[in-house]
Amino acid sequence: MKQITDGVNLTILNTPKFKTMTISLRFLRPLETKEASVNALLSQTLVDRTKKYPSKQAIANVLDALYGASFSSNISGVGHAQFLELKFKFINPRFAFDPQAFQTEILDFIQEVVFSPLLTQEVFDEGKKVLQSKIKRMLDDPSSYASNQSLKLAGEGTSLAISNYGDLETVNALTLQDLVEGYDRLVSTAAIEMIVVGACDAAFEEQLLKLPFSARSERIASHYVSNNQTKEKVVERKEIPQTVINLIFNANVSIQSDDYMSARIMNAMLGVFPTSLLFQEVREKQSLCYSIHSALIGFDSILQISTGVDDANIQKTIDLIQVQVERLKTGDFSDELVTTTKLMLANTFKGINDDANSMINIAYQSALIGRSVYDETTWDSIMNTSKEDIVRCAQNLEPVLVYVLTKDESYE
Amino acid sequence: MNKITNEKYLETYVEETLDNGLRVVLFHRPNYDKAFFLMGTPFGALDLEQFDDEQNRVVFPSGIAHFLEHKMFEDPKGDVMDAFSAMGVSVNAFTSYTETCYYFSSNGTIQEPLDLLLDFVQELHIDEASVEKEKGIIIQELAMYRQQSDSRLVNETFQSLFHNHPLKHDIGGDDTTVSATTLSQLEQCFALNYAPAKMILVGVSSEDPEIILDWIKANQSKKTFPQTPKTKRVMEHEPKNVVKRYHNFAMDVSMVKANVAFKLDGIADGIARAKAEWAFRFAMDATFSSLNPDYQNWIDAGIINDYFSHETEIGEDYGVILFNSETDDVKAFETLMLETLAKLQQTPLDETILEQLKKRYYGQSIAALNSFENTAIYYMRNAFAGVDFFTSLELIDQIDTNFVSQTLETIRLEDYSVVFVEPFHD
Repeated sequence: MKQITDGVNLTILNTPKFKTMTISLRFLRPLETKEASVNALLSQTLVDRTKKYPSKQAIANVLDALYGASFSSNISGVGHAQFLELKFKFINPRFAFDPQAFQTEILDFIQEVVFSPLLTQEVFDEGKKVLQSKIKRMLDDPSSYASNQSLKLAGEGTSLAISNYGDLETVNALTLQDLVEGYDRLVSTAAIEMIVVGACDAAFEEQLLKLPFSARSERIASHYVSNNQTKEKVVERKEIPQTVINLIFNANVSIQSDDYMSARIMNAMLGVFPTSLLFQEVREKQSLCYSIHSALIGFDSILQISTGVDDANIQKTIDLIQVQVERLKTGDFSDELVTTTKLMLANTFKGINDDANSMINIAYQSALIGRSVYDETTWDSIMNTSKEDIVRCAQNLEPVLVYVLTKDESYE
Repeated sequence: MNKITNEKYLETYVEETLDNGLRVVLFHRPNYDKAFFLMGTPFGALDLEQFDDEQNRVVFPSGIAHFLEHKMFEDPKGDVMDAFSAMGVSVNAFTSYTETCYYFSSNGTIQEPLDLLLDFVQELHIDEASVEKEKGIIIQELAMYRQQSDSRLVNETFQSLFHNHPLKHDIGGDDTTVSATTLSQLEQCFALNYAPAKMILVGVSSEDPEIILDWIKANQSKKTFPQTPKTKRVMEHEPKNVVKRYHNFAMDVSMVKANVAFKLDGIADGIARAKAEWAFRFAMDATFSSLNPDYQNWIDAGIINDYFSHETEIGEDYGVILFNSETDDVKAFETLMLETLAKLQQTPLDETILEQLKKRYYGQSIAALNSFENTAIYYMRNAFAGVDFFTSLELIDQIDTNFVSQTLETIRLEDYSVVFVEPFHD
């Protein structure tokens, strides 16, 4: 890792094997409702046009000139913080007719996007409309609505309750001034990680190190261990063909700790792979659902289980899910499940260096938590995890919320 | 064994058709831990009526290809998914309108999961009880898609377009056809469509292709197969006109989402079809996107929004151009699509735009080859269509503005449907 300037780091993951080069710029900020809405709107407008390319047409033209380069932005939450990502993906310069000129054009484009956004009333109004419909669209999808609601209710008053896109009321009230201030915060105060994956030569690296970022001192703590109170079950009604169920638990494990790998294995045994307890018992043996998952949200230390079932089977499914969690806590599972899950998980890690996006995510996570998420010791640390470690992590699970989204009026 | 190297795209693969007819294609990608293998048959959701060996007409309930896909994972020695998992390998499958495909992705061992892939796809082990048990799972899967407004909108659109063509059915069928599917129908389906000579195996990995080929031959030499049946899909007569011009329905959504869909003729020849699809893509990308200066006005007027999309799909005996958007005014959206298409048919594509798009598609083709999955699936689809892999990548160079104009003339502006989903009215 190198420093472009104080608070702006450059990581180059140099490899010849990809046909593309990917550059990710990640701006880290605290997760707060209003700023989340502002950042979501920025993520919309920054990719829409710039001063030099003041229309969608001009942006499309320049991207086509860069051989159909893709340029996108998104927002992700990481515990108490969130980051806005600008991502550029273009062909490995060796496939361009003039590789040298191509690299220069890429750099110019990145610089233009980061330092010369077009933040006018017109761009603001359109971006706001798009963001509003994006949020509505997300809430229209029953499973994302349920996931959003269950986290919001479980983590009331904490970062967990804040959606990455803020909320509709906040977005409705934003002004152009908010957008401009939000941009200034990102470009002059936010801690930035720039991560490059692909065939990157020394000359290109040197150019990247010269990008005119100003020094900044902001450091934000992202990960934490959630300590949510246990809530009453929540049942919401919505006119949908299938009932969606979400269960939320405090995982009580720090993403930074040695125990975190054991927690990942425990989560994977519960509901990540087809061999998991939830998939086997709820889907394969009882035919109650098609999809069922458990996810460990490491930066908040939360475990979330989600599935979709027929209205008639709501309570039966919840009970069966809880039985599987109990089995983990009491060690009522086969050695074979442990062995298989470890191997699946270890192989998932092994695949990281074959995918540019995964490489970027892992490099960024490592930077945020200050320890390497994946290296040559990962395989052993998975294999050396004992049944006791796994059971201990399961015993740390604390139920927080059972959330049901259904049209069934009779279910309470 | 045939070894093919392409300097422009820096790709190498070997190809061989085995004695039993199975076509094997192995891409070589050094420096990767990952390996991806897929095995596919050109049997999909559209194949509901087939002629068997003796020219008998066999009729299946809709969703049967997808049902069979679920059941292939059963094995007398235990669940196939478990066996893959025990190797640390993930396995999955999908069913489209025209193909069913099984694949695994591994970051370690190859030979073991490859043997298993060949074994489970080439044998069917099911009984009455296991068929019954699967129905509940599939019905929940269909319910999940049904509550996604986008996928429901596509289904309702196809129902408005097609009188007889099997596209009017959902890929997975419906609750009734799934419930009605029988053990013997599944067995017959398997016998007719999973013979080695019908299928293709495509692999992408860093392992030496010749070694992999030996593994595959060793696996296949141990097996005997019944003679390959000659099946063919029964092509239903489909009128040119649509079933319904207008159709709408309500769901718990917050905005109106609409499809304006045009019915096209199918194109039987694979290369002609691929070229026509490219021609449509050039014209549509030039016109219905920000490359068109009017595009911003359409957004500002609320006729379309940022989620606007268009797609052209052509098969042997069907074709559809689909425009989709959230909109404030469905009628205005319909009029805009009609008028723009009419204008497009009168105006030749700008040469500069054509060249600009060629540069875009070239870059996108290169980027797509990064993905092992894309490479394998793209190869398979071209092979089923009778088109060579690198030829298909070079087809864009053959497209000129004249060809685009000719292709656009095939759009019949009167054969279209407008279908939209709107929020419930209280």
